[in-house]
Amino acid sequence: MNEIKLVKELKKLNQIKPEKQFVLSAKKQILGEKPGFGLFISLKPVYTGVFCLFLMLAMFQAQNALPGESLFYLKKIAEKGYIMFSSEDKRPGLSLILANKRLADLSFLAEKDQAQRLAPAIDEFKANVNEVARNIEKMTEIDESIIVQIKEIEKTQKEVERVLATKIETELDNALAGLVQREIDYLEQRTLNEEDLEILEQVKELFEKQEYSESLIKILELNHN
Amino acid sequence: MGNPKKLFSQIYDTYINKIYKFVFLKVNSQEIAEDLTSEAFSRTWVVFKEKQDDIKNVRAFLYKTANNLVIDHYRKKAKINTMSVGNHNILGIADPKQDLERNILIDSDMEVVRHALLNLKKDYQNIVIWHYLEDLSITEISELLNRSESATRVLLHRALKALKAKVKQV
Repeated sequence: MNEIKLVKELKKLNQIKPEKQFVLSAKKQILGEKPGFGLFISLKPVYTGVFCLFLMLAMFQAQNALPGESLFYLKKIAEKGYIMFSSEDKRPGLSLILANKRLADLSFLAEKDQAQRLAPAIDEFKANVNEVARNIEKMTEIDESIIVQIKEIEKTQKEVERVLATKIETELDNALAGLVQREIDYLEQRTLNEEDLEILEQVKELFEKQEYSESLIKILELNHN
Repeated sequence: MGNPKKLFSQIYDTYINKIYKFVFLKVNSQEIAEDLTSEAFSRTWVVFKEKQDDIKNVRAFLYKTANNLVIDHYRKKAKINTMSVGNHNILGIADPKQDLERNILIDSDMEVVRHALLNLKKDYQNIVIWHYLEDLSITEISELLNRSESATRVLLHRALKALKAKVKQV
């Protein structure tokens, strides 16, 4: 392992993070902060039970809510919470899954020709894809499942744009371009055999053509060699 | 002067991940890393709330406290090992949380580097973690170590060389 590779692998150790539960409980213990369950403690158990049941029912109903509907905000909070409490390396994958869900919502509404609900659905999709873009910028490792999700987004987005006859602008392309450029820079520093050099040239060509997900597939192929 | 609790809360949020990582890379166990990290912050808080002005550099204070706790931990461990010779079952119990950490770190090259780092001399571990993981400058590290900048540079060079050699052995 050469020095550049060694330092790169060392930097990856920054993925080590304490569990959120530990961070919060240790802080409370050290600073003597009271736990934040005051509301539940002050309520009688029966009211707490009814409240929890109501919340569970609402969450269940919210699962099928579409953008523009009141219960959609509940669904959004649950999804955001899920991503927030997941580890940083899992966030790009999870946010891509959510972006694909929003795109499915958008596709459903576009097919049903529900014009008045399209605007919030497009906004939600853009917000999710932009979140994906931010997570991609922090990514240290390319993952096959992530590329599959990106390709799925690209494919469905083209289909939706065709139905709506509108181009949906997002920050995904810029983030992917940055990621591919970073990988090209790294690969150019590595000692590659002839076969790998050929793949690297193909990556550069695809990059020039702005075919970023295809570039990532080639990079993955190269990393597996 | 601000509210010490509020100030320390900000210090905690800023350094908790860094100190945990620093300790975890040295003890290789989630449970022990959590205990020692929590203890390092507790001890710093005790001093901070009484004599805030005595701590000139909180980061250095936290790293030093954490480092001393790790040293104490290994001293105690060595003592237990000496007392329990022949009782391999007690000391050989696998730490399930440690296995969990291992599963998370699935990248094989990164695992190799992590194990090599774990087997490095304590001084070398510190300087590698501070410079390459925490991005501290040579000047900042020399202040932490109370050494000259040139001596720190030499130490870093040796540490990296030793790490490379350990990586080859793994």
